[in-house]
Amino acid sequence: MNPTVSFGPAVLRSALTALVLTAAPAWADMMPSVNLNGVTGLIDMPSGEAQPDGFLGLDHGQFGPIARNALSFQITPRLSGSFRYVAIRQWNDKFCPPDCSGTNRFETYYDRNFDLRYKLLDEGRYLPSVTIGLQDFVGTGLAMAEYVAATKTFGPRLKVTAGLGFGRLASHGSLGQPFGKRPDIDFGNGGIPNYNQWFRGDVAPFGGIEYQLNDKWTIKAEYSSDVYAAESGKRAIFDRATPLNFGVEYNFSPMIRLGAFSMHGTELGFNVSVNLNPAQRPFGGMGGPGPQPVQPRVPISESPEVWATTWLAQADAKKLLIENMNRNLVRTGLTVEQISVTGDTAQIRFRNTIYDASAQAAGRIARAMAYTMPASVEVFEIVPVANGLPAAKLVVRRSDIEALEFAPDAGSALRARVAIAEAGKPLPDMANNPDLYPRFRWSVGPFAQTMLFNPNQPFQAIAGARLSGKFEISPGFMLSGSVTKKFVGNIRSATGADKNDLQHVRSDADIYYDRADPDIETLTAAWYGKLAPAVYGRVTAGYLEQMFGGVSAEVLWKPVNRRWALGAEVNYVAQRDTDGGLGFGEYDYRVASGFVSGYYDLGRGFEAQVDVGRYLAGDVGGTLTIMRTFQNGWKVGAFATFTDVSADEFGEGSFDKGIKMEIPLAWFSGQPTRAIRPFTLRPLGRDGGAQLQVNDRLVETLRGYDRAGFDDQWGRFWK
Amino acid sequence: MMMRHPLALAALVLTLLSGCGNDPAAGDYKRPFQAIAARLTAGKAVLTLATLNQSGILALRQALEDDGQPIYLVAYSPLKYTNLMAPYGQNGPIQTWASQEYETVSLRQGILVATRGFGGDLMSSFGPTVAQIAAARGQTQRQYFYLDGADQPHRFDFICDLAPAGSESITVLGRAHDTRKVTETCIGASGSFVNAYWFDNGQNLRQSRQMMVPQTDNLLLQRVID
Repeated sequence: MNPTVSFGPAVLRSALTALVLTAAPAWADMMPSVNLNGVTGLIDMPSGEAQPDGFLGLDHGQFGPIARNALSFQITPRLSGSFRYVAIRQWNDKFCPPDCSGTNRFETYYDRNFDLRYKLLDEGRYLPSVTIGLQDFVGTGLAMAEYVAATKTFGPRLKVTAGLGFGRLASHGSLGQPFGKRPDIDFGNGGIPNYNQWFRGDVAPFGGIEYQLNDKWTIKAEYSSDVYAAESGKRAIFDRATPLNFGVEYNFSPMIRLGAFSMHGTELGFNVSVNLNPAQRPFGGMGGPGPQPVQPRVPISESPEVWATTWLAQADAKKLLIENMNRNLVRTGLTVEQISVTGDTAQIRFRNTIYDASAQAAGRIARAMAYTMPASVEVFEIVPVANGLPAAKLVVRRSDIEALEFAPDAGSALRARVAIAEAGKPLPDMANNPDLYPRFRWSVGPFAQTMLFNPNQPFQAIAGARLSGKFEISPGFMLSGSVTKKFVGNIRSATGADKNDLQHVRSDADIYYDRADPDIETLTAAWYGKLAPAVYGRVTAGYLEQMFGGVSAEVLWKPVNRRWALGAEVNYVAQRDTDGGLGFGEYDYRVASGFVSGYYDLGRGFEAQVDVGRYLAGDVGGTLTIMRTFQNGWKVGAFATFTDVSADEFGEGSFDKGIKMEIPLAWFSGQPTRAIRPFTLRPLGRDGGAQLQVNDRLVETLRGYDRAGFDDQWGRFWK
Repeated sequence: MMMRHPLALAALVLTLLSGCGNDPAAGDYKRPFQAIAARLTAGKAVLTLATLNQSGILALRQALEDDGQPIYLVAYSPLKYTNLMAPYGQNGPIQTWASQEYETVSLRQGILVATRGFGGDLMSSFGPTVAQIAAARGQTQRQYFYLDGADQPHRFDFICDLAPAGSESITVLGRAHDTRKVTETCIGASGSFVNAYWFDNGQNLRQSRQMMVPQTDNLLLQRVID
């Protein structure tokens, strides 16, 4: 044990965020709760409220034989979206045998739902909060409903909700059909919004109350307009004795809420909801060891000899400076790659393997330079290098570093005096760090892969160990590879699975996961180079991903001070054998694919990406990706791909779409790390609109090294 | 131009380059910690400052006095933190003190200016001088700057009243000091707090409890070795 104690989590954060977030009005004292569907609501019914902007919810709700898992995101202060996976057990008990056809073949019925909600009205002194919502609005529509709900708070503890539902939410207690008959649903291959049905047919009221007993406990009661026609009627999976539901909820922590309910007089229900705020790390300010204080120079009036530039004539001056810098940077995780100096300016090109915030890496370099550089050096040029690519240049005056270290609001004070520009050319006679290349790094770590939503086995996964190695021959030129070995798992190649006529570029993933063991995931040679100011190039050749090998070449034009970037990629690849080896014979499939990609920062925390080109199955089309981005590196968004593959050819789902997230691990740990966990959730993995996976594409390589990246976390310069 | 004395030049360059390029990890400031470790952990590899008994405290003080380096004892109860800090850097009037684990506090003549390595750090601040505080009367203005969990800056402002708070005998790592206490009561839009300062020999700040993060307990700073 050290004399220190590891930093307990929430204390500082809660103190600070409590102060930061005190602007909310009194009626917001009761956080909006989440219902068994994982959306903002009462017990089973929705409410008129919304979650705080940017919040990400994970929910598991269950009653009787019905279980739901939902992922919800408050996309903007008013708009939210949810994806829900529903499982209904005993689905065919009453019918099969003898009738085991159609949906009766499923013992457990699985269904995917998408919801969208829009808050029309904020709660005011007299007006309620009002939300309009579409439930299960794409696809087969078993849970399809539309609603308008209003919620008003009375005092600090009581909330009342009343709403009108259509579709499933009008299956009990209909008041009539104000907007005409609801047409029959024709979902085809699914995946298409059923807009013909919206707000048609019967309408029925629902509502309820919540009462907060104290900080921890809330009681709820509701009147449900959902008769559960299939579940309690036709299929008699549970008895529905009453439209009334009751329950109690416990706030385990601000992030976790537990609920227990009496459902329809006959069933017990429970709910676990986790509500994350990606914008704020739960630990608050970033941890990690403090920096070295700035070492100011002796004034020239006191020691003019220290300011002499005679050191410039010393042959190994740069070598010594590199050594001293790297010795100084030992405990930071930063390494100097190159240095160039004149009498009054020094440029450091460095690699950052640790700091999620580019500004913090730059700050640590500036401190080391203040400690190391001869006194005559007044201008610091700080250039982060990623895979050999000089990505940007911060120009900082040493006098400012010395003068502003302890200035009030030192971050803003310094930022006003720092220029961020293209990396540009080095100063004359750039010297390389002689100890850096060639460089070999290897690691062994855990590996896991999941496959979701297979109707026979909705959660499949394999896990094991991954051996990775990277051999850097010179700046920007490297050999790398990884091999996985499976230890456990239940992914089996599904025989006779419902697959389409396209080349099985993705739908055979289960076969690969099943058979490739050990699996040579990747084995590549890669080259990265700067082609012109703000223009970067990459060529990767070899075994690029589990299912494809070949050559991938990319060019990216990404000015440091612009909101946009433009890229082009061409790939010529062959489909690999399923045994994880080096062969290409099994499929005998070769394809040229490629894209022109545009990236645009829409502002207000949104960015868009458009890819147009040819996909792995040879189909031609485009992909639109919209991501909500957070300053600390979180990204949450969705994508959709439309190609010349028809909905029939594509199969269930009609087109490729899904949810994408990038989760910085520093958010969880509160310690600096550049590790980011990407996460893509596709309701269905099909062959149309599939893109090649290549490690370290240029946009990922350069992540955070533009003006926006520095400015988003500028305060970390002094951390 | 040919240099007459290439060796002399090389020596100068080496002095300039490596002389000011010491590895801070091997720097002087770790010496007292090593001295303590050698004294106190004979047989045991553990030094748990917060749980030392009386004889342990006296042995620790003796080790620190023998070493002679200036030392602060720094404690922050919300993190159950107690540690010793030695001088790490000096920029103008502000001295930075570091623990062996690189938590740091930066002080202007004992008045807290910034912290690092604690997670929710005081990033920068504006406040009164020690002379103003020692005078124990009048008003002061304070500004504190923090980064939140999104690394965005936040500023908190306070107006403070200084007042004498009598004399008090305090114990700093086993040694008693007769002191004069001064309080600084601060009020701002985000709440209020009270800093306390204990002076011995007039203006020598022996101990203080100063606000580091709003709405948490104050940081305790004790000057153990002058």
